Amino acid sequence: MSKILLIDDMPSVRGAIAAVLRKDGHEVVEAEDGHSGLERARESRFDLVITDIMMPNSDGTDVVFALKEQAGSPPVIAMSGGGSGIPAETALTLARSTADAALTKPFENAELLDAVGQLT
Amino acid sequence: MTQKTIQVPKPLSDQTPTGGFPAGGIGPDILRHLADAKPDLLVAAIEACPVNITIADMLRPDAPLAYVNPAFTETTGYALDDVVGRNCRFLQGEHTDPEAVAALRQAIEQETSIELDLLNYRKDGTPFDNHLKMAPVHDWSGRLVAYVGIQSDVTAERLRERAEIDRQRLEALGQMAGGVAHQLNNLLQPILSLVSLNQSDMKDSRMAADFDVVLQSARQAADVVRDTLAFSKGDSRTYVNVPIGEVVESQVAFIRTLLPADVRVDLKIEESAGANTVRIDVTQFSQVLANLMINSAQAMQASGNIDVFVSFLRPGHVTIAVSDEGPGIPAEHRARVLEPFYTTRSEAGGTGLGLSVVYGIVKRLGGTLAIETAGKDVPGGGCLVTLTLPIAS
Repeated sequence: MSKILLIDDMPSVRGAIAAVLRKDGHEVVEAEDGHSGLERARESRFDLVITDIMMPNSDGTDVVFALKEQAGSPPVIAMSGGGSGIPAETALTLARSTADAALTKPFENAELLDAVGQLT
Repeated sequence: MTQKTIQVPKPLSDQTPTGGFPAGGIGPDILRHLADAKPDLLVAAIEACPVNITIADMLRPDAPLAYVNPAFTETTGYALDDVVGRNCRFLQGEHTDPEAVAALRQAIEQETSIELDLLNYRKDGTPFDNHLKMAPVHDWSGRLVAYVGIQSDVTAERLRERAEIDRQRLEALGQMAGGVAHQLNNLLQPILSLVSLNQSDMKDSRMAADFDVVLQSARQAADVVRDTLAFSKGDSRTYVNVPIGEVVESQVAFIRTLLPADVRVDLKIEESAGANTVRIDVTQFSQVLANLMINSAQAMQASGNIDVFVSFLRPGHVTIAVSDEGPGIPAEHRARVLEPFYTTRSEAGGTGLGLSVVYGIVKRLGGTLAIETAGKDVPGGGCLVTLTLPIAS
């Protein structure tokens, strides 16, 4: 069982992914944007961070970079559904250079759990 | 529209030039001279004009053509004898814009000049975009005697302009597709996650089967989003070698679940054809079949039979034929059904991308697509779409 920080601005997406992770036995802390996500990451220690990279208020790629700058930072999985302006692949390539894994939405539960299993 | 008219001046027969063109150039008066003194030169100049020139006789009933130059006969395919004595409306046809014709008629009634584009037809029936400028010719007393017309075939230019507009629309679609994809992919995530999550706990087997359809539809929707992005960008796919019979069978079984209950699907696979291997992207191929079958179901207003027939008609290729019992494609739409954005169902949400996507996919696979429709091609009505795919070595 791992302690996972999940950052996504869409409650339905966050809720669904959290449900999959919890059923798999993980403890999940949710954050609704990059700013509060980084706050949670400073408050306590996580085994893994899963973050969307297209969110209002804070670009998810910045979150990935900020997390990675902290000493002893946990592994990060970046997620993207593509967006206006930046296509999913470009954003993921950006995130991939610093994140440890990347998932393109919509992904299957098995893909998510595989990625989590490999990083925790 | 300009109000300027051309007037024929009084004859100046006392000033006949003797050499070539006058040293001071040719003003309207001297042009008149030239007509008197060197009529052959003037005629030769008009005959050599690389634009179409017509002169309509306004003193005769129904304003028949009195003259057309060789450029006109070359563009239209009509000989001089075919056209002189007839009103030039014989160039108009089925798709000529009635509003443009009305504007032309009004200009003539008001004896004014006009410039417009008019869809005309050559003698062999092929249409061309005619850029037409017409001006009234008055005699010295102010009486309307003729209409002179200058025309150019601007078909190629207009095609280029339309292609450019389509290119811009595709570019806009590509940008829009990025935004739509982001939203749809985010909306599809909870469906995929939560349905799979809860499916294993399902005790009721019928409900579990229903959830399977939800899951498959969500996956197909994700693929459609990806394909729309790919269509606007030209993306890469995953091609695999699969036996055509197997892939058609599994995809038709799935697509059937998406069709209205009163649409029956009859699948026949010739044994010799079904075992052949084709190289395809399965998701993309499924999109091809789904597009064709959904089109058929819509054409039949959600009730009737769709036949899917896999056979071996052409050496080196397998043939997949999808036919229905609908009304077929009306003649006026046949030539354009493969064009991107061409739709007759815009009110019902049609984007006009379905068949053009199908055509694009089949072409990329090295196959062909033929559409035959009710009438002589398909006795008994309906539409028959036949696609062939090369057999993979």
